[in-house]
Amino acid sequence: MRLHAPALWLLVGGVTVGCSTEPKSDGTTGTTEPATEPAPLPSEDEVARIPRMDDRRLLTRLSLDLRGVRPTADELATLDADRTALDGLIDAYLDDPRFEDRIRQIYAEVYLTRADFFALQAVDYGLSGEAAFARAVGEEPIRLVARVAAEDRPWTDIVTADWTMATEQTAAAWGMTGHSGDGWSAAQYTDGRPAAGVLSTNGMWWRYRSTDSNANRKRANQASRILLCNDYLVRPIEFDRDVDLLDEDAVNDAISTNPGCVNCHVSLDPFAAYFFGFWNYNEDSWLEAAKYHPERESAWSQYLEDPPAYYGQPGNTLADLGRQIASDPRFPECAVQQVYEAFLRRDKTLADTDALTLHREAFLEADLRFKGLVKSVVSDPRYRAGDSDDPLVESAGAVPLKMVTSDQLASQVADLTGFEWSYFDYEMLANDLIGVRTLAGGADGVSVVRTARSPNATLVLVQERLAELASVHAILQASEAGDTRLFPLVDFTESPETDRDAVVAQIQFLHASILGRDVAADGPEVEANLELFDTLMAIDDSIPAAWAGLLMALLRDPDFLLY
Amino acid sequence: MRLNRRHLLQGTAAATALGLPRFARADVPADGLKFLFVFNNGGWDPTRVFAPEFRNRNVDMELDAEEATAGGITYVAHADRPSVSSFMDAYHSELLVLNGLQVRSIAHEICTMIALTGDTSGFKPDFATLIASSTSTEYTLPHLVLDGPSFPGDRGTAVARTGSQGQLEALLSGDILGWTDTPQPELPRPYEGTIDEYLARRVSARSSIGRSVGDQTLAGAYADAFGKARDLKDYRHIMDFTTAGGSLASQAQVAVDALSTGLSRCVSLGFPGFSGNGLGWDSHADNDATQSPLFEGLFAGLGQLMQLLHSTPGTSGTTLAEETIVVVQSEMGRTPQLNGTVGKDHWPYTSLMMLGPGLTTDRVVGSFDDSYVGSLVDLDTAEVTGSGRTLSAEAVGAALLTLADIDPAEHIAGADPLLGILG
Repeated sequence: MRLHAPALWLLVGGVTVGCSTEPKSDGTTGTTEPATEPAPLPSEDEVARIPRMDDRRLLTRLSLDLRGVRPTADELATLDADRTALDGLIDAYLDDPRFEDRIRQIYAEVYLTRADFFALQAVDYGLSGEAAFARAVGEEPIRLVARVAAEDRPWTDIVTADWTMATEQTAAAWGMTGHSGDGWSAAQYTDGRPAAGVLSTNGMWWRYRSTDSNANRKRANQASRILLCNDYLVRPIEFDRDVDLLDEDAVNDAISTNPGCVNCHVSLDPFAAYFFGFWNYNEDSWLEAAKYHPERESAWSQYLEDPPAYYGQPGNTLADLGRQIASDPRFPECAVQQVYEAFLRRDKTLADTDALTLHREAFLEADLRFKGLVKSVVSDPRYRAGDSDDPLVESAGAVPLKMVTSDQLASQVADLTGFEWSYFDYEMLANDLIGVRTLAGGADGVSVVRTARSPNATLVLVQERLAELASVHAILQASEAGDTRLFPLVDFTESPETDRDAVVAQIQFLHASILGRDVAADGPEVEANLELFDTLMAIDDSIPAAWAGLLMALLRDPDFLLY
Repeated sequence: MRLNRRHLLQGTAAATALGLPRFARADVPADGLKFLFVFNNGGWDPTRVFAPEFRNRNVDMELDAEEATAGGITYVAHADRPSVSSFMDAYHSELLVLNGLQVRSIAHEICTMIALTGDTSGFKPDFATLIASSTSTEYTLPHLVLDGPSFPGDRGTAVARTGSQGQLEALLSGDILGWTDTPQPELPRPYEGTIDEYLARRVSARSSIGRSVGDQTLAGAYADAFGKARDLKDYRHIMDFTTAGGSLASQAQVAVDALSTGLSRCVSLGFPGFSGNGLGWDSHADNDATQSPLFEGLFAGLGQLMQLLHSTPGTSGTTLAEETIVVVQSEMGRTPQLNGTVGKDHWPYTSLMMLGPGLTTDRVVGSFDDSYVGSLVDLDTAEVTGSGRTLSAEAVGAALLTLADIDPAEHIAGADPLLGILG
């Protein structure tokens, strides 16, 4: 049989997998890593001897990683007074409402669903507020993940839950029940979709759509990549040139018989067969795309050779798939890897094998409660490593310094100054339509798929402009609205000439709050800041403006991005 | 030790003995070559310009189209696309067309990754970034992305995006301070320079206190970025970033400015504009109604780009055209036959164009067979042969790296470069 469209349904996210009959001359493929000399791996005993960073820096790292904000001056003082207070502070951070936001941000980089655009928009459902609608769609699955983590529910809930997360917009557009009516809350679909956590969310499958020829293989691969850390696409891929791509029967035969093809398709295709309840005959139909279609679950037989199954275990619905994934040992292992990589801000390496095993054990001992896993990872000597020339720091893959994400930059500025940068309701550091997300090192999931791990010029420019806006906002809030969170020690009438002690104390407070530093009243930092203050005063003769300039300088400090 | 092109070409005799190509214009050193990448999102239809498959019964060609020749380039001409013919007539001597390029996928995102990086993860640097970062200390923004996808991998410090709505210009000018739902009074402008001076001292001091490699690397990267951000503020007085995300012609002007002023070594452009929800070339319905005007617009824009390159002084050659490689590509091709909506779907073989020095030009490399699959090619000669290799995105990327004097084996394992296109 010949088709007009190519017989390319052997596609994972579009890629023809396996089918390798054209090996490279050196026996390698185009997707393997270059060979490197293996380095001796440090033992965990050796890793335990990695010098630890000082308490203040560690608390700053923990607070930014777990809450997206800097530790308060009180928290720093608590730790200064009692080093054993650290564990209690970590527990408090894990119970902080902002922990849920951080998990959402961390998993945004895994799920890559926070796109600026979806094929269907608010207006298609008679709603207004496109920015909020796109955000609600893209964040649905990661909000579900974040709630499971924040409420310390079993991690398996993310693939078995019978609820999702919605805003009033998506709840209305998609006909949900149980929504609180205001902002984000848990809600339930009413279209008969199986209880399968993120696997049952519109947000996932609006982001990862399928075509007739792809037959949900893309969706299966994304589920595998996200939930099992098993990305079919990283496997060697070669086309078998003997297969006529214009002949559907020939390609189907290759999938079933060609060893190179079978290698992936034997598991991928039955995996893909689970997703036909999300099959849309018109992807752009607002009505069709809003709903799950139980009656289409069996439509796999029109597109695939194999019925739903998970690595040989048969099933029927996404609920079965969710349970199968939940019982797969790779599922918790993948969570461990994702958390480890997120908190160390680097990819895992062979040297991390023992560490990942330890954290997996901790996760299992915590009955797959996410906070148990996080506590284990943030206790890792690699995470807590100080700035040291000890060769162990390098050889063990320790991370004495890392960079905030665009999300963390926005959240710490908002917490410190009260300034949240939005424009036409678009969060400026969370979109690229009119915002600066990718210029600030963020990922849009399409053009840029990974957040930056080191700074570039545009990030520094974003930091500068955000600092300026936030500084002025903070001064106005303090001087006019009584919000003195950053300026409790001055009322903007004092200058170094009239009340040096008050100004110095305020500078010390800013250093502690913004950079976590305990600077001496007669130290070089304060002296430099006083000099800057005087210089700014000479320009405009305005004490509030000089404070704004000084605050801006501190918010532009390299250690505001590096922690 | 791995050999790279520089090692291999240390002696003409050695190069000749190894059968390796030499640059056609040896006056531009490899590390002086600049690169422009024009990415066409959505998947163009090679049979409308690059692949005159009129005699292939498996291919639906366009009505009223005809085979045409300009120098050594045979292409598809159509009355609706005069800019294509004009471009071919004007620039065929600088042009290299690759047909039958395999991208191993028919998914936009995956094909894009493969086409730009040779890898499916999206986590490896794209070819532009690899080239730009090899000489990153010499440029303020080594790889400038005006539009389209970019994959910085672990070399994010070398890559900067301008944004599709003039975000970079707004950041530089400070106009972005007005882009807020909660407007704030602005600080006195002289503050900016004063605070910059304070921070320059602070950043310099911070970059010198680290004891671990990790601290030194990241703090050093910050210092580098800080310096480049300051340099950028100066650049905006000699070049205009406001149109960076606009039409291909306006992007071309920014790109040429970036190259000629030494701001960047590589610039990525997008057509018809990757940002937003535009489907670009993705012509699942009404193939020719979509593709034809896009090709006309593309070649009109490319014509303007080439004019600019030819009329702008280079930094080591007479003009920028003599030291700039232009790569024009799309992530995938389209099916040979029309579907039920007179559209064409995704196809894993496509075409690519390159112009510039160091290439064997006025030439079409590769072909499509009867099934519209890319023919095998001898990578050393770039001739079609049954005993050859697949013409892959990796092989092309490896050739570009070789041209830039970068050992491709260090970045694209197992992908042998298509040396036969190097002149």
